[in-house]
Amino acid sequence: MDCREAKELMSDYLEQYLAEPEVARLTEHLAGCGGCRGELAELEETLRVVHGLPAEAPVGDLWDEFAPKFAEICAESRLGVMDRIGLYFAHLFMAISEGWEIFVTTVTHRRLRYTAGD
Amino acid sequence: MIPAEVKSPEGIGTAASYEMEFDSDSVLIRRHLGGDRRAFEVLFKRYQTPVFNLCSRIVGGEDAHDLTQDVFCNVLRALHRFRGEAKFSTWLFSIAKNVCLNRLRHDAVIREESLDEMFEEKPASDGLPDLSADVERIAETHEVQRIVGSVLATLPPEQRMLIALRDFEQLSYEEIGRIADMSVSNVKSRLHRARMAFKDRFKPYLKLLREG
Repeated sequence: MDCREAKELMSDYLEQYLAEPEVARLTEHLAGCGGCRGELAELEETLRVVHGLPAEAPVGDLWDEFAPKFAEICAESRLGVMDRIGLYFAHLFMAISEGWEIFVTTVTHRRLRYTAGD
Repeated sequence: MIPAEVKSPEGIGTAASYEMEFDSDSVLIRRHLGGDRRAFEVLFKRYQTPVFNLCSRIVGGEDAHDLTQDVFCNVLRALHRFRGEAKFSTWLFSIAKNVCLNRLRHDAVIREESLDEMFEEKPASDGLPDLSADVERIAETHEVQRIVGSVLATLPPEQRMLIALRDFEQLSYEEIGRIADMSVSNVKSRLHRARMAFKDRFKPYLKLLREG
């Protein structure tokens, strides 16, 4: 086993996903390769730090803020077919407007930069 | 017997909601589709932290709040199409992943960055916290969170997503494969590459953490 192959197997080794023969080959390589032993130790330590971190949680409960959106979406779903089609086109128009705004902003910004470059 | 007004740990007020907290996701979805409006609230409260955590790891802390709300808006609109072929959480995380990647694409357009640039690895020093920072401060959990977030932000979105799903959300390779639309062997090899890239960039801080 060379170092490249050994490095490829490190994640699986740490997660105990390697089959016994591969573990034996990797262990044999590690016994004679200080560089790979160091890499493995670093990876293990990095993962230990990452796994030890608590989940990033929102400040407070997001439901209170979401509740009006929930009511709005539920109301949308109770609309008749024609109203839904109208709403669909309204959303489509808003999405196109937003896209157009981004496009115009980007083009204007680039043109200004180009002019300033001159 | 559960009293009429129970304050559950998640803060849902009524006895019915409290009882629903023990229902499975599929039962809650059925109840929601049957018109029980509290069922979605229970689902929301059950998954708001994992979704926020995923968004925060992929996109960064500042946008995670808005993105979590966007994810649940999309979930609510699409819930009637959920067939239950995969676990609800897998389906939810794939929506969250799409919302996050769309946001990153949108931000790349605003920053006039091409998609190729966006999906490339950024230089290792880009936006990383100062190494001369106080060692004691680095040993604090929130500081480690900040550094981990900064290091993650230098990786391409796909690598961030894989690390977030496996190392932060602790999902199985099969679930990650469904969410990321990859084979299990692909998930394993790409995740390994992501972890090695993360490790190389995190190495200087690891040294400081050891000293702390």
